[in-house]
Amino acid sequence: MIFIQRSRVLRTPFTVLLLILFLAVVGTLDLFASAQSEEVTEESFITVTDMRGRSVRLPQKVESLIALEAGSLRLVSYLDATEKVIAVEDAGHGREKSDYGFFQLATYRLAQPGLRDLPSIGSSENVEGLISADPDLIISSQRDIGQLNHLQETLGIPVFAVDVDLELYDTDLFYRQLEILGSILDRSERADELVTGIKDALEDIAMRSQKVSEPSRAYAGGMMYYGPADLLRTTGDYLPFDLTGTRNVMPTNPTGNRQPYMTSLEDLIASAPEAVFIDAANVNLSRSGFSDNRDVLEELVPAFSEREVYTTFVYKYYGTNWENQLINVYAVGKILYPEVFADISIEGKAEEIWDLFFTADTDLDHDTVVKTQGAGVKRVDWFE
Amino acid sequence: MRDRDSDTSQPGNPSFAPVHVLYRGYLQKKVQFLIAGVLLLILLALFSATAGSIPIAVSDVLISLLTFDHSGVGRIVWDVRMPRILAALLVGAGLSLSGTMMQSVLRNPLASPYTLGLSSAAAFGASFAIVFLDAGVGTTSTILINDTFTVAASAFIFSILSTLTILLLTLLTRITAESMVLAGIAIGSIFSAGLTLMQYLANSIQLASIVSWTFGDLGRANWQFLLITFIVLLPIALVSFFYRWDFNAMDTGEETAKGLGVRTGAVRILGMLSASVLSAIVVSFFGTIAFIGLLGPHIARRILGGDHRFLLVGSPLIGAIILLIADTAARTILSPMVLPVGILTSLMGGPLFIYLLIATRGRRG
Amino acid sequence: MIFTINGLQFSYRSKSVIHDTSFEVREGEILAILGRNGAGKTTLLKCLNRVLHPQGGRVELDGRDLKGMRPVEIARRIGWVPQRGELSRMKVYDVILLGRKPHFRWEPAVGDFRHVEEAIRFMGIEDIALRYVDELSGGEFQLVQIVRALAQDPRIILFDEPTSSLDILNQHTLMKKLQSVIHDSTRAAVMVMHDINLALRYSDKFLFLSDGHVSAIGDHSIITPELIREVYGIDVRVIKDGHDTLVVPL
Repeated sequence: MIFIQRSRVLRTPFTVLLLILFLAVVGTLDLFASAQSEEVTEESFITVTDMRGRSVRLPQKVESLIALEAGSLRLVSYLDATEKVIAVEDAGHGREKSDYGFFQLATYRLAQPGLRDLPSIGSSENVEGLISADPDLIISSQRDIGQLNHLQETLGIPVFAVDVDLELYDTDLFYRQLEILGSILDRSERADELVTGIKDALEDIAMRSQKVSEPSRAYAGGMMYYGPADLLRTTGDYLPFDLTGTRNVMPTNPTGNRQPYMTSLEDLIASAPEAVFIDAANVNLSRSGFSDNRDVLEELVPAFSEREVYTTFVYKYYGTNWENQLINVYAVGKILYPEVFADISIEGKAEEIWDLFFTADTDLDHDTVVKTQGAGVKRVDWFE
Repeated sequence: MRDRDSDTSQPGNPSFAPVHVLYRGYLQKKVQFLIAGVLLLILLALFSATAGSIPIAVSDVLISLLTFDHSGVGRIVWDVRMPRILAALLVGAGLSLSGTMMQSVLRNPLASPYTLGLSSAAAFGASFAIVFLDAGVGTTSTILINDTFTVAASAFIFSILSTLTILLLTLLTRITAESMVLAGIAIGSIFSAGLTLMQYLANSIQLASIVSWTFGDLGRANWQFLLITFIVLLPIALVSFFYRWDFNAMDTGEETAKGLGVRTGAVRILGMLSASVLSAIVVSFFGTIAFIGLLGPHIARRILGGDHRFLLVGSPLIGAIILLIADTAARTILSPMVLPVGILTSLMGGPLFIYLLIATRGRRG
Repeated sequence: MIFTINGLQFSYRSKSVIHDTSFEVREGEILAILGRNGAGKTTLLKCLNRVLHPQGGRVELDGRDLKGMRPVEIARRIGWVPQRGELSRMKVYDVILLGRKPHFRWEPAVGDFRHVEEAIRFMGIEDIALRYVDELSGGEFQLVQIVRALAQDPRIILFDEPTSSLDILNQHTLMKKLQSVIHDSTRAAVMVMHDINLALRYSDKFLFLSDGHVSAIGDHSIITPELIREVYGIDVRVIKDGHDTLVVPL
């Protein structure tokens, strides 16, 4: 793995040149900085507790960082701190940007197109590359504390762990993560702005859902979980249903981990949902699952006979698109309870939420996102 | 010889009638076992057709099964449950039959689609299709196994390729059955390495597709898959049964078989080819379902002995029974969550197989 | 019936194992093939029913070249008892039934079962007939292989050291029974033997093989200390007592 990734990095003369240039610049800056900071060594470091409960000693002013593993770069982009990012991963980012169209399924990459041009650093296994890049901080969503500590010791660079498995169910933790990251990255105001915005949105949704008199029974399909999913990969913990008071026809994962799971055609039929929502990333795969059993589904499942089947914004790609999921909450509400959500439009709400998560400067346009992600909230065209 | 029988028969020994009678009884017991097996399979299939989250009375299931009625309850029975049940029967029987043939032909009790590198080759073929045959398709929707037939075809081609390589080696160098197994292991590890390489070349989504492909899952069953599998299984089962006496003869040794007029080389190649095509089809459509190719034949051998007249019927029968039980469990125990049946067969099959090995060793020790 | 071998040649990887071997066996005769270890006795035997394919020469049964026959046609006429076999998980009866395989197409008929049971009774192995082969002793298995060849009811039976796993009583019982099957019948037997005295006692003709060629062939009269010395390199005394000939190492 190391071999392949390193060779990929070094193969491009341009990358090598960039790296050398970069090292030279950083080296000079480093000399300059160390000369300057000699008097204030004591104050320039702080100790914080990361999302895995580790104590991490890191510079008070983080000027440069590298975010590793799924979802961590997304959090940095929420905090509008991508200019501190000096390199990106190969596996989840660098490699895919050139080769594959679905690079854009992670909305933060659309909001921060500059990330595309950053050099690729391989993975956390490319220790030498990471050391020579010499960032002030490494952010990782790795779960294993042992590996996090090992990485930090090997590199001699502070490694701060984030928790990207959080959903907007655990709002306290979610807010706390944004606030801690905000304080580390000198973006506390931005963190407050985010937290307030999310709180307001959730309160708004809660108020609306109280007005729902007849909750609908709905099914969520095409739920990504470390890979593509078809119609039968579902979840019992689907935020857009739970926050709008919709009854999810599927129970939570029997193993108790709240993750998506495979169900059977029969269980889908038995649950008889009135509406089906499918993650747009998996719409084609789900469609072939539908076509294989079209007669049965149309005959026995109200959602299919009534053609109440919709796609939603891409919810997971290289971590969770939390902003898209919040938009999906509104979308599900608007579709199932139009009277309660009468005053909002999905387009407007989507742009508003993207502005909240990625700052108004990025100004993501609904139609552009729908076009590049091949996604959006709409009734599927499977029945024609 | 007959002319001398009368005066050389030993006094005190019973005449040949008892041996004849005993042998008849012994054959009858086996036939009875096979009939019991078929009945058990039918009962299990019936039970499986009534098991599920939609409650349907046994009588209704029976009626819709017998009348081929696809409406109402029949929809669930015929279009939802039967494809899976039939898949379990065909896949279980197919893997078990192909295991039996490979074990006979290679005279190695551990021969199976895995030992010959066939599964690795199929997995490599599938990953090749996932990584390369979709490369350059710039769709923004992450569909990977959208074209199940392309993936299956690629898996099939590579698994047949691996078998042909082994056969060619056999023909060119006249290697022994043992070397054939070793060649299989070597080719298997080459394809495993290829699979690993594919996994490194894959992006995160393709990687997940490769991993999920390798888990065997009968949920992929549709009528096309079932029909093709059946069309391949039936003639191969018939041909293998046609050669049952040749397999028996070869079990007593290569030279003995030749002395009995068996064209051992031809039978070996034919057996290997048909066993490979059969398991390649099954693995390509349904992924790797571990242990059925070993468990079916070994349980059958323990119960029925090594006589291929019964083994070639009993082994697929037992394979079908095991997989049907496993799949019914896989789709009902954690309902509405479904487990890939491959996980379950490995989980149950591993310990059971170790038990069989120990028990067999004790007996022969 | 006459079994003629003419100018037989066999080489393995360009190394000549059997060269220019000719002899014939007539009906009612037992021919013993004798010779040192590695002289090519087993190889010669395997060439006779085309388990091995000789590169030169002809093997003819009643004037018909075996080369033109299908394997199953050969198997109907020539039975074969190898020295070893695989201990399969089959009943003794099933293994003996395999001897009828060249004669039936789909399943054995009543006549096939009768042959099997007669052969079982003839050799007196009724007590083990329904045991699994892989549970037999070496001697019992050797008998089973012989019974299978008898059930095959061929014109010629080839034996590769049929008595190697038997005790002295069973050796003589077996050889007497085989004699009774062959003598005064339309059958013949070719046996590779190591025990020269056992061969002298029960065989009618002797073929001495040295390094793949025939040193001598003939009846008891050819047995001389000189021949034994030439073939085996050992000094012996040859005792002739009426019908019996005995070779005693000095």
